Amino acid sequence: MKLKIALIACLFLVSFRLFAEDKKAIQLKFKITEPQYRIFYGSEIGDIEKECSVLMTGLLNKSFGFFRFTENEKPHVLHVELADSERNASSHPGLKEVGFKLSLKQQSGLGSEEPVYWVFRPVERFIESLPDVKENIINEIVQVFRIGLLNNKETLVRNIFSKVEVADDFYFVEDKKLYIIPLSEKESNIARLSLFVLISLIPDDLIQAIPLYDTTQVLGPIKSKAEAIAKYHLPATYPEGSLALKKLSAAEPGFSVNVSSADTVEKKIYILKHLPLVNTDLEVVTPETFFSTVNPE
Amino acid sequence: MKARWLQQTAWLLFLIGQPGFIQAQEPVSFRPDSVCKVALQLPWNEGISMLTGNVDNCGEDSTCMLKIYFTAGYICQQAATAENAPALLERSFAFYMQAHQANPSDMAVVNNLFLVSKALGNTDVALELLDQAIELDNRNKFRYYVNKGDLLFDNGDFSKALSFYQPAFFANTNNEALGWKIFQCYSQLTEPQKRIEGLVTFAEKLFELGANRLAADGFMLALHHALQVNDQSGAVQACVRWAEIISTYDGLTESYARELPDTASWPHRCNSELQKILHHSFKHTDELKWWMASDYRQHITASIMLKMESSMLMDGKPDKAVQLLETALEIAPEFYRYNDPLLRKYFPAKMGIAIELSRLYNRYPEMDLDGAKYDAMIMELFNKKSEHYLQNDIESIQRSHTMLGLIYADRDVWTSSWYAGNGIFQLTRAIDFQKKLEDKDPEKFKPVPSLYQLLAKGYRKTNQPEQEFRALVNAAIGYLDLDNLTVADSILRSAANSPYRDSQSSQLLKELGWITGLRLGLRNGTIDVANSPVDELEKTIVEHPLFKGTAFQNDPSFLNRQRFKFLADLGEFCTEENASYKLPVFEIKALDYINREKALGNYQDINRLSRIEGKFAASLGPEDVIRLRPLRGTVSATDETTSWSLTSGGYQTRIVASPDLFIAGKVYENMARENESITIETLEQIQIRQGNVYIPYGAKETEKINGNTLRQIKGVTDVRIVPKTR
Repeated sequence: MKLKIALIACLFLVSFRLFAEDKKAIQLKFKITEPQYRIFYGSEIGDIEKECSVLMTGLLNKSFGFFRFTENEKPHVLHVELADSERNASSHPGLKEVGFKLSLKQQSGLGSEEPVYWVFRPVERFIESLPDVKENIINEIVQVFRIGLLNNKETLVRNIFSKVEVADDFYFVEDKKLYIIPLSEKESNIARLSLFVLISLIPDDLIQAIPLYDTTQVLGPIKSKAEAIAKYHLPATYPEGSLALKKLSAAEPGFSVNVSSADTVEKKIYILKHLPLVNTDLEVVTPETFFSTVNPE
Repeated sequence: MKARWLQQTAWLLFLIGQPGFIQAQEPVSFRPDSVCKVALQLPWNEGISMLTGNVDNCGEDSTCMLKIYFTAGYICQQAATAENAPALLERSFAFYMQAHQANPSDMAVVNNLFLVSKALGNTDVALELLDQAIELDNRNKFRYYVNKGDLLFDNGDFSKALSFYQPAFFANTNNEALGWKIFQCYSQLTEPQKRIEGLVTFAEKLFELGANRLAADGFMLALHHALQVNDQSGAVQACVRWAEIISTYDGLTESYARELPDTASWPHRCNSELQKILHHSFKHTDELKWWMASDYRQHITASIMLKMESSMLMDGKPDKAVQLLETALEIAPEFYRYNDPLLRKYFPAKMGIAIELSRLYNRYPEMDLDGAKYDAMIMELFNKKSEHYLQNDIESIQRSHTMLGLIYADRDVWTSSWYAGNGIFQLTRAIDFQKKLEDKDPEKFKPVPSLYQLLAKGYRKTNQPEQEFRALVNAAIGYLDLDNLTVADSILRSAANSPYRDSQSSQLLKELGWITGLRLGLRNGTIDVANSPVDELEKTIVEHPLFKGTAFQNDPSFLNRQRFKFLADLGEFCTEENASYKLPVFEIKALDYINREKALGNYQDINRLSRIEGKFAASLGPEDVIRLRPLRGTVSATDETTSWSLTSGGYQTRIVASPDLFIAGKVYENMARENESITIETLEQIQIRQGNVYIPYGAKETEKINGNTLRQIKGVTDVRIVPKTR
């Protein structure tokens, strides 16, 4: 019961979103590999890992809304390991720190992966006794993970999330030289000026396919999907408020053809820089709310 | 959370639109609210006809006219589509203007007028309306600043946009996207030199504030702009500052080299050597002469090497890590060189490198078989002379003593011919400096029970029972702060077996035993929470030494933290097990105690605060009330929040709570005190938004509500009575 309460309390903070968009999924696998922790918690270790996974998945979904993190099996797996910061079995067992190591497996995409690490318990706390209450260690793990996400957001995008495609389609509006991607500002938590790289594989008779790269920057959401469909033939499957991107002037050579109209073209989108959305837009006040302003005591 | 917000918003809207409200406010003959509601349900043109046809019924009543015109403006605004937008928006604007004339200080009108003006492309009017909004609603002025900046930016007036973006950004440095808008503004300036200088100046400010990642982006942009106009000195300056910032990043990897221009396009040694450092592709330090040409650059180079160590260890290459640190130790400037103005704010890299190298020599003895390297380094670096140079950085001195204490303890060295060459000396110093740090800044509070435990071991081995006893007691105090009650209890039992005892220490032991017993009793179920009446539980608590204030007179902060923990946990247990526990009295008291402190004990306290937030959720707004922020700088004076620091793991974090949470506690407490029969359901109807307290109208008839008393609660800006719905 207490665990349930603790989980509910954490979920208050996490505030899960409902995903209307068909986001790419990343599986989260959390494992405690530090031997002393495994010995201390014994048979409870599985439960601890499971509970932590649920809460970590929620935190990731809140921070990086452009993917859907899940505990279910998916081609891309984000491994989170609570482990000794050094990978060397011959080392002296003391004077070490324990931290989170995050790495991506089975990925297919740009570049090679580089793990991301942050401290769970520094050297001076390694010798400290562990909490004997399961809920307390779960809470400590989840809170430090959360704080780590806050402090390492950029490195996570750079080293890990930029290696997984966020979408496999985009639409090019020839008239305006704009790209529309099937992700919306609010659902995906992507603010203006975030950066994406768009890749198009154009079939070629000499070699199989020529990849074309474009570095683009988010301009903002489209105003009206209906208008975009009617006027610019945006596919109806794109969500309301899909993001419009413009090519950066200093980017790689751009598209020489209107790639959106070519059926055989394969498209991929990767995030390069994530700026989380902080809503500063003013919204329309309704008359109902307006009535309330004239009722002082 | 979203669902809860929607529910609450719907409830609030429903509540303020009830017939009871209309009857209380308006003449019986004409009800503008009812007319407006009906008009909103009709096709837009019929709705407008109905409203305009009823304007005359308002007579001289400006409130009535405000409602009619506002609703008409709203209907036109909502009806605007791509085809008819200009005409309908113009009509909307005209109606809103009449509402504005009826009440020029109504924010809802100004807000919608702004949106319509913006949609019509009438920038000048929109800007003027934002000025009015800033005057009328100062609390949200930074939001209006951003909107002003956006309008000016879209108009191509980047210098003016900056004058609004910058104050808004510095009021909330967590808005990374706004930081990038500022970069964008500078990047658009026509004069290249202004572009570069602007970016550098803004990045400098970011760096001073501790927004290091964003600052690095700013310097990198400045570097690229400088190269575009072949400004070599500007490019070098930006590159060096960028390197300085990344030298502070934990877990630095070679991937950062990818951000630099390629060496073919910018062959300057500043660039090529820095890439060698980041790729670790140099064979000898002779290849890094440019980066070793001054103390400042040497410091950056050595610090980058230190920060790259962790990725090598993670790759299982401790030999390479040791080699890198030994090189860094050679490069790092001597302590006394840190008088250089550029270096004054830094802790000498030499010390940090030496500490880490010492740890590695101990962890991988094969790298220093006879311990000679370690001994020589320790003697040279960790002496009184070096400490003299470090006096201005207590935190770093504390870290140095901690690591040395841990190393000596690990080697079981408790005595030495050299005064500082043993665990007892180093651990004692580490603890002393931690206390100094907390005395100077209570936000730096950090429980260090493991250091006390090690110290107790040292005293036991050197047969110093009095010191051992004191160290054990302090270790127990630390574990109580960390919520590890079992370990605290077990340490107190060991302390009780100590041969050393005087009246003061006996009393201390007894008091700690009470606190531990009380908290363990709650956890283990020996306190009958389920069957005790709440008022009896309250009485028991008031009588307990923890709350009587007789114990721990010298450490009120420890007591406040313990009281907060106990009361928050008691509230949770009562909620789960005691059916008569409705009003969150224990949570309200818990908030009172933690509100007096600047730091939390550990991560469990974040959960406690979140659970307390849950108890007041029905009365609070949709935003997260408890938020986590990286701990950097101080909270802005304009940010009216309560916050605590938490320094328990690898990061220092700030936990921020909305003042509405504390207001909710005080309002509940106040109303419950004056109305014995008040129910939690009634209290939960109260809504609190940014200091405004909305109380259900029906409640005023049956309950005693003293608006003036509520207005005196800290943070309350206004108290309004609205109709009751349930």
